[in-house]
Amino acid sequence: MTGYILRRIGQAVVTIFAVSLIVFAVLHALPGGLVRAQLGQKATAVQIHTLELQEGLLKPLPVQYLTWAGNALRGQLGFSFKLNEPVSTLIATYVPRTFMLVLISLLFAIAIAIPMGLWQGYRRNKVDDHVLTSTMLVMYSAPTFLLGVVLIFLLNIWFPLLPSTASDFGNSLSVDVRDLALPVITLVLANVSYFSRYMRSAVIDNLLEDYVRTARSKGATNQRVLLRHILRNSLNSTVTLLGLSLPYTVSGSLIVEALFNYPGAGLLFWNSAQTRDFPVLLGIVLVIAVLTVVGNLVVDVLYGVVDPRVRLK
Amino acid sequence: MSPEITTATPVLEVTDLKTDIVQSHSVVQAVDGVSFTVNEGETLGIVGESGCGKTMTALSVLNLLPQGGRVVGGSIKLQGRELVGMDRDELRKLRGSRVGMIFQDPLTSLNPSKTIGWQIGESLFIHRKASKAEQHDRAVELLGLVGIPRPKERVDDFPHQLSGGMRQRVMIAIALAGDPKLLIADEPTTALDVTIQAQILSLLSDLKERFGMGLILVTHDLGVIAGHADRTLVMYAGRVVEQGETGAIFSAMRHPYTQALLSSIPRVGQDRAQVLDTIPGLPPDLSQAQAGCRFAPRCTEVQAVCTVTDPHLENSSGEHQFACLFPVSGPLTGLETRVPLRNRVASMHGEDRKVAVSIRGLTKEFAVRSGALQRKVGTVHAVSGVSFDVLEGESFGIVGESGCGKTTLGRMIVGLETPTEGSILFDNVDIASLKPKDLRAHRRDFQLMFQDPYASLDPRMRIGTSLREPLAIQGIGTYKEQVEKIRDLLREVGLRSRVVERYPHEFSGGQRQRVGFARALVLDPKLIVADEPVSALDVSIRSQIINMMRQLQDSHNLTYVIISHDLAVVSYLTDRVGVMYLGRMIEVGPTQQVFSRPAHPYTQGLLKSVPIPDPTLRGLRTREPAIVGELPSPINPPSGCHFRTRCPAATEVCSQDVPPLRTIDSLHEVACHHAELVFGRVSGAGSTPTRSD
Repeated sequence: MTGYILRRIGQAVVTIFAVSLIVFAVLHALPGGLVRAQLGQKATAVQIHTLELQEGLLKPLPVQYLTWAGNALRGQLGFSFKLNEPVSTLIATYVPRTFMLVLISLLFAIAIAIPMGLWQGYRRNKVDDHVLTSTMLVMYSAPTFLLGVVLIFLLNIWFPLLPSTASDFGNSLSVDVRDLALPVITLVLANVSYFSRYMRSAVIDNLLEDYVRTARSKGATNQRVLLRHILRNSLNSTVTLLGLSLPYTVSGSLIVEALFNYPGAGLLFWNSAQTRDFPVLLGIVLVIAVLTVVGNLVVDVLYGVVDPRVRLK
Repeated sequence: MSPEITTATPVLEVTDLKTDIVQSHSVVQAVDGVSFTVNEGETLGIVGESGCGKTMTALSVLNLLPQGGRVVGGSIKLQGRELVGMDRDELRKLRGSRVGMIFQDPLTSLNPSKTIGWQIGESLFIHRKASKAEQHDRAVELLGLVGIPRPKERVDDFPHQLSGGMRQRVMIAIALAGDPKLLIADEPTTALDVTIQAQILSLLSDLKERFGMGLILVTHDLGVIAGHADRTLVMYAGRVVEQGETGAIFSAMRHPYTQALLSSIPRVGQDRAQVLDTIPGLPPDLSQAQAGCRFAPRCTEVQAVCTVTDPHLENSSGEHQFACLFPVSGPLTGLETRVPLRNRVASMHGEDRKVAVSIRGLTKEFAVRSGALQRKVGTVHAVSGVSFDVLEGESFGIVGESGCGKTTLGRMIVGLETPTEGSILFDNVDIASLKPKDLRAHRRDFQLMFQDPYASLDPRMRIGTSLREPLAIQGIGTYKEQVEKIRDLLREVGLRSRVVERYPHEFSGGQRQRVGFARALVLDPKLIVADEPVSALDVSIRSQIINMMRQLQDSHNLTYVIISHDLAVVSYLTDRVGVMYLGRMIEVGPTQQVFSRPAHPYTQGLLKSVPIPDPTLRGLRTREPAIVGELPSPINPPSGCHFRTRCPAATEVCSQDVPPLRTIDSLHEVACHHAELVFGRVSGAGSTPTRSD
């Protein structure tokens, strides 16, 4: 198992290196260069040259990359002239909020989807399965923003239980549960439909497996077959899906954050994109990429825990 | 033969069992009025072809039927207790405690994510609420009982860490965990190699005797039945057509189906000058009602009345029952129906015969890679240094157990795999060293016939298109000529030419294999490599395909390389044979000679392990499996002679020197340090019951 984890960590390091190269390349491919992006259209040649010298932009590219990567490792991702704050400070403020939103949503989504999928698979093509499956299909097909808008109508306008926009957080990390509620519910609904569909079909596939017949031939009850045999073998696909869905959920949170005015990385990204604040945009890309890779690493390790066959490969 | 048990209550008594399988558009009457009993310490064999209802009968006992399956009539009494209509929870409690089940495929039948110890202990927990420690101890005990070495170390293994034979032993341990009175084994050895099959079957028989259990042995293999069943039930199309003491079923059968089934099985040492007996046609579709005897359309003894009157199981002499209006008496003598096959293969020693393919020092190694950087950590020696010639117009057989490298060898011969070393001379061209582009022009001369034609035909392509494709690729003839050619070919392999419009799934298994053979013939090859050509087919279909292959070899001037694990098929189909073990060719020679006088201990053991459909040989053969142990890993094979770890004759020299292939008797070559000893011993008395005619 240790060897398996070490191999996966090695792969993750390689991936992060590749992402950093891409981000670095994009920074340097900006129209007019990084300096022009900072100084604006009206900058003079002298101003540009001075800043380029000052920022070390005239050195060879590999040297620049190493300097940049070294800074990034130390948490220095440049300076946002638009917001007049270091990028790292901005990220340290906004990314954890998104991280919290995504993590809470995924945990809830999985906690609901696994038992639900298990039940649906076991009761396949019965009335309750049909009802759940079609409900989930609607959730699955609806775009996240539509789901959000419907929820605002439902829980904010018709039944005013929850605030539709988050209060101003300032720089604090602590979030009011009520502010989190609607964004989380939206993301949970979008993800539950996704996970439960796959869980259901994994359960149906596993129910037809020979080992289920073996378990029954030992005298196992239906409950035992489901919980002790099918559950774990069906988790493989859900765990894989969890890894694959991370970038999807993170980008989904962008829409949700914009919709509910939730001050996370998504909202920051949205605003920065409109003001062409490239250091912030690329900083977020890098951090989200690293988090996604780390998330996938965690999922790979989980996969090894769930399926003993994976460990040996 | 069956012990004195008639006084006691039978372990299992099944009367007029009817089981239906409801499908989306039809109802299949899978089991239709089957009755039998199983006594303590007795083995009841249930034999039949696929779809005859034998497995459904076995699964009906504990109501473990697949989806849509339901027992709709009859009675099943376990030690006097009625199971049909029993409360579900009551029935569940009998599973695994009174009755243990063993299934066909030990890989899929075990839960991949639980340790074998857990899986054995589970039924103890279910039925006796045994503690973790009790479960563990009992699991270790049972693993020892079923012959798993060092059970304490293996108990925490996962199924994928074990070999197929070991997994089946685990399956048996699971079935035994609750001390059952009845074991039901559904094709327990079909997925295993013949040496392992022999080990598992003798283990089952030993355990049955030791614990006084009843055993139901469901199999398609009459050889297994002959060697292990006390009484036998022959099933056809959901019904029992004949039942009785195993000896009588084989030596004095009354039903024409039993007779035809037995005579259509090729045996080791079968007379190659005769056409193999076949059963024409296909088994009936059980979702359609059929009047009269279900075997009537395929029966040689059929009369008008057979198609209207339904025969019932009749008593002839006590135990022996059969369902036939015009019963036969005993097996075919071989004189009535045998048709001589025109034997073009005049003399094996003929100097005039040219070499078709010359294989020298052929080696194939696969790298085993591991780690993030995929470093090479080992080498699988799939084929190592194999040399032999295949003569023009002959059939050369390659036999060996799975993992011996026979399939890789076959794929190299047809250029689908590039050898690591060595040469394959075909018409004086070394196809092993050809560039892919140059190889393509040569490909038409050698074709591969696959084991599973269903998997090897494009499911979305009409048969006609699939067959025409090679001609189009090689640019042979006009469209019209191509179409004409495939129509002719289809007629030759016994299919109507209008099947070109059909898709692969519309054919039966036997028809598909005919299509597969036609596909191999399309380019007029000189050599056909057939990898397990009949292994996926039922006995009655198998003999049809074998006959067709032999007839077309003659008319198309073909050279065959037949790869198979089935020694009987190879014995009937081939002139010469090579035996492989862990990538090496260990014995080569004329098939007749190698099989009647094997010079290598492995070949000898392999031949002894083949189940022969003749119960009279039972006394002659020892119960002890001929070859013990399992195939070593091809990544780290034993030094010297690869077989020495399982060889009864192994000595010091075997671990030091690799025995070279050397001539022992004219054309007969063997790679064994002690071949003279083995060869001499066999030539003495007929100690191997291999029916050398």
